[in-house]
Amino acid sequence: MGQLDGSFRSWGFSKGGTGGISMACANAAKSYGAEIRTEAPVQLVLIKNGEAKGVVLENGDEILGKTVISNLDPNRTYLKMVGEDHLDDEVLKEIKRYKLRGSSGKVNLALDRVPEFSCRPGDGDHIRGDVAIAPSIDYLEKAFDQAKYGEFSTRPYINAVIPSLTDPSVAPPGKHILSCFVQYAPYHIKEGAENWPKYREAFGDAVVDTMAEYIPGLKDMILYRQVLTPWDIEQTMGLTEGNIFHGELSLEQLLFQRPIAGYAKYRTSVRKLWMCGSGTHPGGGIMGAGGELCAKTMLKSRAI
Amino acid sequence: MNNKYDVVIIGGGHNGLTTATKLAKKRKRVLLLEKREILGGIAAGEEFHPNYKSVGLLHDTSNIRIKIVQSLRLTGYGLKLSSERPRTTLLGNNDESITLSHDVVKSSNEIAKFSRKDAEAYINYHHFIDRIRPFIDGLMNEFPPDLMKLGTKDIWSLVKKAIGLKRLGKKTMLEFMKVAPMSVADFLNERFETHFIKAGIAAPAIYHSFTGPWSSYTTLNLLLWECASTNTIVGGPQALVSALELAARSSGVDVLTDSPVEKILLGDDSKVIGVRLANGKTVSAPIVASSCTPKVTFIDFLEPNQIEYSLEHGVQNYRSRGTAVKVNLALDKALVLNGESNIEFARTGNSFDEMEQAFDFVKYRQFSKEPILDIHIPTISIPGLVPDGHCVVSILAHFAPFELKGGWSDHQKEIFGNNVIRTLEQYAPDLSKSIVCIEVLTPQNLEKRYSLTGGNIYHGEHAVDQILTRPIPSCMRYSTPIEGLYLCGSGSHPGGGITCSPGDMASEAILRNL
Repeated sequence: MGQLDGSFRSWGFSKGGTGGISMACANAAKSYGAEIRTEAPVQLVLIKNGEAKGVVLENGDEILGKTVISNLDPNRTYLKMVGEDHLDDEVLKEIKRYKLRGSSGKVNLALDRVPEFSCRPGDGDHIRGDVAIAPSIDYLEKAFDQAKYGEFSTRPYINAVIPSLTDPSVAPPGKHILSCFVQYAPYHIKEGAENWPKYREAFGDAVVDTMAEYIPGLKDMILYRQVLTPWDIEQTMGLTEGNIFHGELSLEQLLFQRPIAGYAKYRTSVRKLWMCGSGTHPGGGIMGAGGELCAKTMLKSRAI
Repeated sequence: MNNKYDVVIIGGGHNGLTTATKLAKKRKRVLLLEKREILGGIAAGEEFHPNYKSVGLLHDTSNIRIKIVQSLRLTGYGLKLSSERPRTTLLGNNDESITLSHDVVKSSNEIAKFSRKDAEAYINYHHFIDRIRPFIDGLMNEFPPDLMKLGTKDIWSLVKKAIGLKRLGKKTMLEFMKVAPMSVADFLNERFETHFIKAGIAAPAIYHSFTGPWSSYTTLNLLLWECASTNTIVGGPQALVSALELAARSSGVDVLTDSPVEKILLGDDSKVIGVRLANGKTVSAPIVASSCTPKVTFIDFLEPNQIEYSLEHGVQNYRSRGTAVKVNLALDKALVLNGESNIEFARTGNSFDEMEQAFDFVKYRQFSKEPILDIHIPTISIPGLVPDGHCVVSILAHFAPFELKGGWSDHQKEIFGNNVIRTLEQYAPDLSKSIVCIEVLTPQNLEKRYSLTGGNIYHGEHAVDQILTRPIPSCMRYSTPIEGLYLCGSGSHPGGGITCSPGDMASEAILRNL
C-alpha cells in the first residue's frame, strides 16, 4: 500500500519527524480557511434529539457546528464523547466488542554518535533505511509468546530508524536519534495496565539490551532515553489501550466491519456525527485514507 | 490377479470403503487394496495388549453423515446410529466437571451450577449453531464448485452459497462473518466466564491442528465441528468399519488386504492404467482412486517426472503437521474422573492460557508438559473389549510434534506417556495403580502405521485455506491433473474425521466422468 512521490510502495522520512506530515496537513487546512485550536481538549459531543450539535470542551466552552467529525478511536468516540445513554443496545454491544489491545511500545534513544551495527560495521545506506531486529520466525514467535500471558517481550521485535542521518534538524550537530518501534508490549500486563509505570524502565532496558546485542557499545552512546509503554501512549495521546491503529487490524474488524457493521461508512449511529480516523476503513497507519474517504462520503451525501 | 477392473481404490479406511461400495453399487468392477492386514484405517479397532482392544485411532464418530449411512444402507449391515451426540464431560482441575449432553437445556442447567451467565450463553451458543447449520451444511456437504474453471454451473453454485448466507438473516449472517475469523478464545470469552467450561467447549477447534486457542480462525473450526457433530455410532468407529466391509463385499467389491501399493502406473499418454503392488503384481484399471493423503498419492505413488512442478509444489506445501499422540491405556478397573465413574467422553483444558501453553511447545518442536486430552472410554458402552470389570482409555493427547527436537526415542515416548498419565492423574488420582499396559503412538508411529503424512489424522490440517480448496485448487473436486487419478480420502473436501463424506463425493465425481 502507499506510494511516495510517484514511487510505488516506497516510504521516506518526513522532515522534522512524522509530525511534519501533520503540520503540512494543518497548513493546507488553514490555507483553505480552516480554524485550528490546540490545547482544546473536547469533553463530549453535544447531542440533542439524537443529533450531534457541537462539542463541549473540558474548560466548559461550547462550540456548535452543523456536523461533528471525530478523529478519535471508535471506543473514545462512542463511549466517552457520545456516551452510553445515546447508544442503542446493539451499537453499544458491538462497540464494546471492538478489540483495541495495544501491543507495541516506543523507545527513543538520543545518541552521541552514529551507531554501528556489528553485522555490517560503518556508515552506509543500510542505516539510513529501517532496521529490523527479527533474526528468525521462532524469535518473533517467542516474543509474542510472552505477550500472550501478559508480559512484555524480553527480546522483542524492533523496527529502528535513525532519522537524524537523513534529516539533521531533528538532533543537535553530531548527535543522533535511534527511534525504536517495539513489539510486544501488551497493554494488558498481568498486574493490570495501570501498573505499567512500574515496568517502564525494565521495558526500556529490555529494548536497550536487545539493541546492544547488535550495536556494540550502545549503552555508552546513550545521552537520554524516552520509553513509551502502551499505557503512556494511552495517557498522552488518547489512544485507547495504547493501540496506535485505533483498533486491531484483524479480519473481523476490517472493511465493512470497521469499526462495526452497519456504521462502517464514516457515519456513526448518532446523526451528524462522523468518524474519520484509523478506526474506520481502511484502518491504521499514516495513510490519510480514512480522513479522505470520510470527506468524500460527506460531500457526496451532502452532509454539509 | 492381473485382472482388469473399472476402478482400483487404494486404502481401505472408511472413505476408501465408501467410494468402493458406491461404485460397486453402480455395477462397476472395483478392487480395493489395503496395505495392512485389517480394514478400517484410522477407524479400525485393534488389540493393543492381549485381551485389550481399542476402538480406533480417532474415536469421535459424531460427525458421521446420516445421508451417506442411509444411501449405503449400512443399518442393513448391522450399523446402529444414535441421533444424539455423545455425552461429553468437561474436566476442570479443581475437581470440577460438567457433563454436556445432546439436550441443550439439560446441559445448560448443569452449567448453571457454576454460572448463570454461562448457562444462558450456552443456550444462545447452540441457537447460533442451529441457525448457521443450514449454511454450513450447504458449504461442507455439497460437491465443491470448480474454482479453476468457473463455468456457469460453478458460478451458480457460488451464488447459491451466497444466497444461503443471506438466508440466515442479517443478524446471524453478520454475526457469522464477525466471529468466523476470530480466535476461539476471543469468541468464547465474549460469551462465557468459567474457564474450564470455555476451554472444554473450545477444545475440538484445535484438535489435530497446528493452532492454539488464541490462533486466528479457530472459531471457524469450532463452528464447522459443532454443526457436523450430531450423531453417535453405537459401538464406535469399528462398528462402522464392520458395516462398511459387509456392504462393500456384498456389493461385489473385491477386497485385498496385506497389499501395499507401490506405484500408480501411467500409460504413454500419461493416463492412469493401473497400479503395481509391493509384491510386484500389477492390476490394470483406467481409474484409480486414492484415499491416501495427497502427499502419499502424488509423491510416493508417482515418479517425479510424472507430475507437473506446480502440482508437486502445491502438494509439498499442503500442511499436514501431526500434533496429537495416541495413548491407549488398559486398566484393571473402571476409571473414575473427578469422582464420576460413568464418563464415556471427556475433555481437559482447564483454561485458554493452559491450552495455549500446551500448544506453545509444539511450535519449537517440543511436546507439552501438560498435554490437553481428548478422552474416550469405550468400555463404558462396549464392555466386551476387555476382561470383566477392566477398562480401556483411548486418549488423543495434544500437543506433540512429528519432528521432535532430538528425535523420538523410546525414552522420549516414555516421558510423553508419563506426561499424559500425570495430567490425567489430576482428575483420577489413583490411576497409575490400575494400569495394565500403556500404548503410545507418536505422530511418527501414526505415519508409519496408517500412512498419515506428518502423522496428521485429518490428512492435512483444517486451516481455512485448506478447507475451502482442499487439498489444493487443482485437485479440489476429487479429480486430479492426472487423467484417471482421483482422491477420495480425508485430504479432500470436506476434510478429516469419521464422516465418509470425501469418499462419498469422490464416487460422485468418478461416476460423472465414467
